[in-house]
Amino acid sequence: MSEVKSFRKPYNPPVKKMTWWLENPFYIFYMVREGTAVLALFAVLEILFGIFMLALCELTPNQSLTGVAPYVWYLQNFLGNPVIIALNVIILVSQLFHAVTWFALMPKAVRVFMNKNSTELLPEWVTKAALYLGLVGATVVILAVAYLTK
Amino acid sequence: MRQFLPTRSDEPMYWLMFGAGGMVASMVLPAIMVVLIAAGLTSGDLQNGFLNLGQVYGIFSNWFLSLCVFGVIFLLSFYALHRMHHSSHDFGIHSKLTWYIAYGSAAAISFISLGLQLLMYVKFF
Repeated sequence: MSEVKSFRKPYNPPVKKMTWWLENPFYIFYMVREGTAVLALFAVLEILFGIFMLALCELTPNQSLTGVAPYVWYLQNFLGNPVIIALNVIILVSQLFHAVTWFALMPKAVRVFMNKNSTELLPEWVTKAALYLGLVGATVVILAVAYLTK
Repeated sequence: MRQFLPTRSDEPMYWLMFGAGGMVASMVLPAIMVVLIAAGLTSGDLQNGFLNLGQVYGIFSNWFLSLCVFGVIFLLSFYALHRMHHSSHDFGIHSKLTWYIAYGSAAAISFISLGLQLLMYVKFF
């Protein structure tokens, strides 16, 4: 936090009830979009838990099955749990929804000019198409590497 | 006489990490979630399933891949908690406490991940 004294006097409208956003479809969409961040945080904690369980194991080349018990528990009883699999599917869908909203706002946030001599902007669909290509490319690369090295 | 302090906000740093993390969440996270779901579905087979021991050893004994995993965790934690910090205004919370909670947790998650990954890297060799 900056130590600069702020002279800003923001108006904070009173929030009378916590469910104000359920009354308008636009606000529901907004809250669902912001809510995808909570699920992304859960995914981060899931990965971090896996790293923690792996760090507890014996990481020598000839490990016994008891030496790697924490990671095996994580793999079979945590990731293999039907509740966690269902939650992971929900996270996957929510992140794809986030991707759609994120890519839709990107051409509005980043203005790319056609050339130096004009103020004409690059069409929005070009930026969006490049981002969707990036999503498809990253997905293909990660899944191919994960499949081929397993 | 009025003292003039440097009038710079630190918000751009967090916004930069939010932007980078949002990009990671939209491009890389769907594939990671597919791998985690596949790992859950194939967890009965410890030799050939997704994220089996040999595969995760390969990831975390390689400094570059380990750094990639750290980058994903670091950017995503700052992205998610920045967004939650700003969403708290919509629920009538205007306290500065959420600033400390959000960025403190994000920094804690990042440092714990980095520490554990360094520990594993040391344990491998």
